Amino acid sequence: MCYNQWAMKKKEWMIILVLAAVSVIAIVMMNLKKEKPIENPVSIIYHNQVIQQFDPNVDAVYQVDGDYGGLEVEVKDGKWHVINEKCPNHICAQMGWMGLDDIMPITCIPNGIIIYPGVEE
Amino acid sequence: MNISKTRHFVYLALFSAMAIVLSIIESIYIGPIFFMVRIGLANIVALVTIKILGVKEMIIVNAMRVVIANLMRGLIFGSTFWISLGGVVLSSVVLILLDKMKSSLMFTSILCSIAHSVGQVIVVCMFYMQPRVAAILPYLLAGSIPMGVITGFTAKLVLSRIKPLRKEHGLN
Repeated sequence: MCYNQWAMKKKEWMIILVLAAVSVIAIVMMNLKKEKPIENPVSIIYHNQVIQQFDPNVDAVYQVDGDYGGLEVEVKDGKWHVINEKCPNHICAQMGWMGLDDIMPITCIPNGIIIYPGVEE
Repeated sequence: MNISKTRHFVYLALFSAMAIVLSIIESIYIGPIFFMVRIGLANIVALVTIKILGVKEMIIVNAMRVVIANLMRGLIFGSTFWISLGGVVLSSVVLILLDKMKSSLMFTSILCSIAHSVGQVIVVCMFYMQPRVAAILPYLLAGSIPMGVITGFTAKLVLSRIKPLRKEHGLN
């Protein structure tokens, strides 16, 4: 075993480049595939069940119960963010304001809650 | 227990302690970059351990890291524990396979970083019934590559600086 073998070989470079290309293509495809705006286009999902849907153009605060105590979703000027979250990580609140142009769902794993820009059946 | 065995045991304890401390520091003081990707400072210790002590020791260090770091933060058997366990298990499997295949340190580090993120997403998707989280996989994949480069480069610097250990374990 030789620790000096740290620089990547040609084959390894190729694999990394392919993985990077796949991720970039997937991100571009996901951003291109945007659905038309519809009424109440944002869903709050708790353990795979839609528990609330809202229109981001209507300012409001929604309180949602979760596994760890829940959180609140503040909607303002077509955007939404998480406030008063009761969880150890606070990543959901740190994600800040999201809008319909953002593909990323706000996720609070300790509470089992996802705020997803899209309508679910 | 002879001196060599005792020394080996002490090194294992030191690596475990370093992994636990780095894991706690990262989770408390260094948040995820772009809300998703962590640097994976404890992965540096895993890389160093497998190169110096071996596979079995790396598994012990990684197991200790997940269990004790979560225990100390009061998150044992909570969602954070299972998610980090998923990441560590998959990254450990990838690390062992790539070590057997004698891949380069940098490549091993990058793939372990990717495997760690993928393992976490698998746990969330399957055990927490949140398949929509898979939408962040491309972002995680893109973010894990630079993080793997950072940990791989750091592991290389660490390995080049602990000469007594390398000499004792017959490394170049």
